[in-house]
Amino acid sequence: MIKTAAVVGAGVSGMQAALSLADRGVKVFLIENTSSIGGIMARLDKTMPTLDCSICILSPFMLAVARNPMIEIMTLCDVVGAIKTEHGYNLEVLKRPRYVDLEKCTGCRDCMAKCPGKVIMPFEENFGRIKAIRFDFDQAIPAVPYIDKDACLYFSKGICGNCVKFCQKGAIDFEQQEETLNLEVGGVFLATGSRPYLPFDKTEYGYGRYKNVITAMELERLLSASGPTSGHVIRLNDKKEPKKIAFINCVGSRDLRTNRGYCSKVCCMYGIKEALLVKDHDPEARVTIFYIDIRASGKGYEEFYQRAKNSIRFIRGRPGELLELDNGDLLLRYEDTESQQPMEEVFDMVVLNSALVPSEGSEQLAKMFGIPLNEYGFFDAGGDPASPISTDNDKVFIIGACQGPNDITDCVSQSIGAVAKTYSIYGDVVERESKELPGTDKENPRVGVFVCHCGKNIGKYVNMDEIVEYAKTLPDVVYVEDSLFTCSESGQKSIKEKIQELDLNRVVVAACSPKTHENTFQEALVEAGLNPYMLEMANIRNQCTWVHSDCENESTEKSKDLIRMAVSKARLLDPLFEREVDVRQSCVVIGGGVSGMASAVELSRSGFEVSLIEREDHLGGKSYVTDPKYREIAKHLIDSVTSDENIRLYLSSQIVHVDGFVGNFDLTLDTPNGEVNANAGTFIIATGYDFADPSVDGYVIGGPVIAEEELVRMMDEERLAGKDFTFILCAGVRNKAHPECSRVCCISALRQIKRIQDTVPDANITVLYQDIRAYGYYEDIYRQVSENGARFIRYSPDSLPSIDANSKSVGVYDTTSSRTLKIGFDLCILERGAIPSRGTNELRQLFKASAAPTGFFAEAHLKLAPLDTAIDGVFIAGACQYPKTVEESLSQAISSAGRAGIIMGSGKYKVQPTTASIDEAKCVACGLCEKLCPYKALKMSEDGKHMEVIEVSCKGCGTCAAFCPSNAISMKGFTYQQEKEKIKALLRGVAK
Amino acid sequence: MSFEPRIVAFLCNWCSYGAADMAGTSRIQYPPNVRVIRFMCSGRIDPNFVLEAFLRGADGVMMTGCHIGDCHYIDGNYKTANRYEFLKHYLDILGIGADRLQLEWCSAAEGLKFAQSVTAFTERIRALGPNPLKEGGK
Repeated sequence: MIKTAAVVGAGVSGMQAALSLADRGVKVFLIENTSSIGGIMARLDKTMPTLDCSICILSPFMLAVARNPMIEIMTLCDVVGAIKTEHGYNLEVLKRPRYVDLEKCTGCRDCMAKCPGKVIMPFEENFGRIKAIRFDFDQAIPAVPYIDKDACLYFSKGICGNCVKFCQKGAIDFEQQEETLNLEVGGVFLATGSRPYLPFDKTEYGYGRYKNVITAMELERLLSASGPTSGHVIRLNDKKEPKKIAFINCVGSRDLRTNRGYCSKVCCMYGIKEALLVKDHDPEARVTIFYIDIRASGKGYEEFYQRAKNSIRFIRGRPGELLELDNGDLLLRYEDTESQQPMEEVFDMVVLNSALVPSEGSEQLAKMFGIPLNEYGFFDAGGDPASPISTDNDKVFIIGACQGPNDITDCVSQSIGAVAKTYSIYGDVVERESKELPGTDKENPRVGVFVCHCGKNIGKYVNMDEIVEYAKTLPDVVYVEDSLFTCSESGQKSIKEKIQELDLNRVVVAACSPKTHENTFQEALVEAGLNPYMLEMANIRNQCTWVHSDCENESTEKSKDLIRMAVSKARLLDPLFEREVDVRQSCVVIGGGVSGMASAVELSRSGFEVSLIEREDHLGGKSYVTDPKYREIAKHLIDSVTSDENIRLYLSSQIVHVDGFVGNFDLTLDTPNGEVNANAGTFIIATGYDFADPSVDGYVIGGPVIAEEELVRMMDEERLAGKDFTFILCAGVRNKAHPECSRVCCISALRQIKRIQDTVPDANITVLYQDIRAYGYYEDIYRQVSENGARFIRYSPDSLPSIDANSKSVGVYDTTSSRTLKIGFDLCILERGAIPSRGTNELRQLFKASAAPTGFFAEAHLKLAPLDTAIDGVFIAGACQYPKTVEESLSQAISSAGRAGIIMGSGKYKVQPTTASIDEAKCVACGLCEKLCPYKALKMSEDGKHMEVIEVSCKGCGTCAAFCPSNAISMKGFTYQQEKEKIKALLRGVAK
Repeated sequence: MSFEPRIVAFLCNWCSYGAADMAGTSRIQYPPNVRVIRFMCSGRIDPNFVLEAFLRGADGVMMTGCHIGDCHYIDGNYKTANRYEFLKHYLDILGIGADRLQLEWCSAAEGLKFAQSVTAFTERIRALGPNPLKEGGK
């Protein structure tokens, strides 16, 4: 058994898969062909629909990958060969030279400042010069630049060499050569993603010819504060701010002419996001989006779209062509499908919302690992929804957008599922070694101060001798040293030696940022036998010499202040320890639909005990309303669940009480046999959805007006009569009561329509819709049923169709022909939307979990933690989060089981050392902290006399400590005394 | 000697401290009057810390955090925003003046914004003159 894995591609999917595998004790080689991990998400300005700063939420994630001892990041690497072995694969990896030594480089960027290299990227050149030695983006990891050989004067002309001259670490190495590495791995996880299509062959839009036609990805870089224009949107030809901007949707997707019939799923939403950001940057800008359907079918997407309508103009139509005018403006010709008139309009800038297409190299990888490609060139998972990432090859898995266009949420969710595969490949849990942190004497502080020159980055801008002499005068400081690079091997060696030699028990490092280097120095402390939390850093580089480089006196004074502050806090530092709590190896799954059953089966397969709770007297949830294909899956799952000894089934039962915390929950069940007490290590909530009530929209079910489930029954029982069928979409949703889009009804309707077309050849099918949201490959079904004659009529939410059941007709105002139509039917099928299932609120309160505005369960983070709730150990799966298709639900259910499995697998849950703690004597039990804590990490003691911290749930934000009116809460690592001392030290001698 | 304001800035680890670091990597210059104290979350900024700084002679205090909606700890910055409002009120009552306290949201990609806010705030405090508590002597 080889307990190693290769993850190919280090975008958000690859990183998540790597973290999940590492959490299970699998050693991961994370192979990335660019110079940094991060993928497309690292290049985005914001993410939709929350407008989170993309790099802000991704950076901590990237750092977690970089710091994980089980993950080896291999950048500038390509898999070039693969030989299947008995235990997995023998991979041949080609490592391209970076020309900068990863070990030696400190990321100071002196080389970049001195590099005269020219630009090569056609897009960026109009905005600024790109250096030959560079980062692809500011927050790159590894934080070491690379040399672009094509742009480098040394490589092209044998001259320059500035980077060598100015690098104080001697980290530049022009002699680096390509290397071939061999890796033995047990499994291969391909997460190569997709890439934005460059629409050169859509010649009608003039991309590449017209200066002011750019792609959405390029606009994203312009919007980004760390992009080439520092966040200014300007035109390429005259650098003016565009005042009138058009976005064109579906460029290169839903487009058979470019052989891309699929919908790219993300473009509608990123287009709206960018449009809003443009407005945010320049409120006077006028923005128009040209669209076919707005596919706002994720959580919060529809609400985001509706909000955008206030400030963005939406025109339904696909522009036919663009013409460039002399001043760089663009004449856009289109047919307004609502007025059916040919129109012309001039814009300052046109943004093409281009498709996502397969990553380069997909074909070679597919060939290498024997994975079929679908007709669009993406990896084909084979279409078994019950195993969403598996291929025919049992050692190779495909994750994320390499299967087809996908958004961040769904990629992350799917990638966590990689962990479930570790059980089949790697067998039993691999024990991780847990290190005991050394303790440290609290009394008698002996502080050592280590000041770093960072080459010249610090040393050049301050009077170092003065700083060193000053530090020696500070209280309890017994040793001060300055070195060229404190982070280097020799610098760290010196820290360790001095700790031991001089019995230091506090260390202050005055150098760069704790965000990048705290870990490095903490490790040095541990190696020298000191508790890692006895370290305090003074950031005299990023926040001093680099930003005050023309005032040596002030920089020197500020450095002295920062060191004095650090020493003052260091004297009061306490050793902190990681505790572990035992975790029960059992999971309670709530909800016996496909999601809950899939989670239960997956958990059982991984060796955990499962209790499956269903309030109805049967399993299967809403699978009865779907296609026979999905009902087969449900039936199979029911068989598995009922025959599985590891799964205890509680039908007609509900949870009435929950207590405890991750790893140690206690619960009470109300069952037909009375109350049952049980316990659990983790929970998975999979309570699904209910149908919206169509009567709020004036639709009444009865007679020839039926819900989809009745149609399904009719077809199953072969009693479908008549040939005129009218579908009404969005019944009961996208209205005031339920403004959200239910995501699944369009797709479900299209499947039923296809089934009717297959069985009733002369059927007349009419679909009344607002937008057809057939995202991704579902577009193929939409196209098929349209080609087979289904008629689609678009109505406006302001004028809903009116059904007359007696005359079997429906009146509708057709927004395309601007006429009111009367359509006769034999059957009128209502596609009811989805709303939170009944009881969701009560269940939420039992767990103290939060809700989204729509009433569905809220996840911890929509993009990066879609399966977690804010409560540790409680996960969500399927449509209780927001409506999902069966495929999506199954994929998430398997992943949630994986998440729960990671916690239970090792039997221990690590409590982070920096938590809040309560001084019981001071606490007056007011309960304010309990209300404030978003993680429910505080509770009243049993005797009601004081509050208690549930350390395992605490994330260490310190909000409770800041608010405690009786100062009874101490935030470890940032205590009141420590911080007050720091403020005092900062302002010493000021108040006279 | 001209008046050089002493400014204390409380930064959150995830966003605004990242912005300050980025101002550094981008070598964006700003006045050297500010001293940074890092917390994990802006929610940790105890009102007493702000008052302590003023009582000890700080001329201005900045509270910074992630943009609303971006908080690493879900909603710590909402609480910071509320606290900022009442602190301003108290600073007026105490005669220190609400103008001497500034709340700023900076994402980890907004090095420039961080530098600009520090610059603008430093200039504002320079114009306001020294912390009035200092003049009375303590």
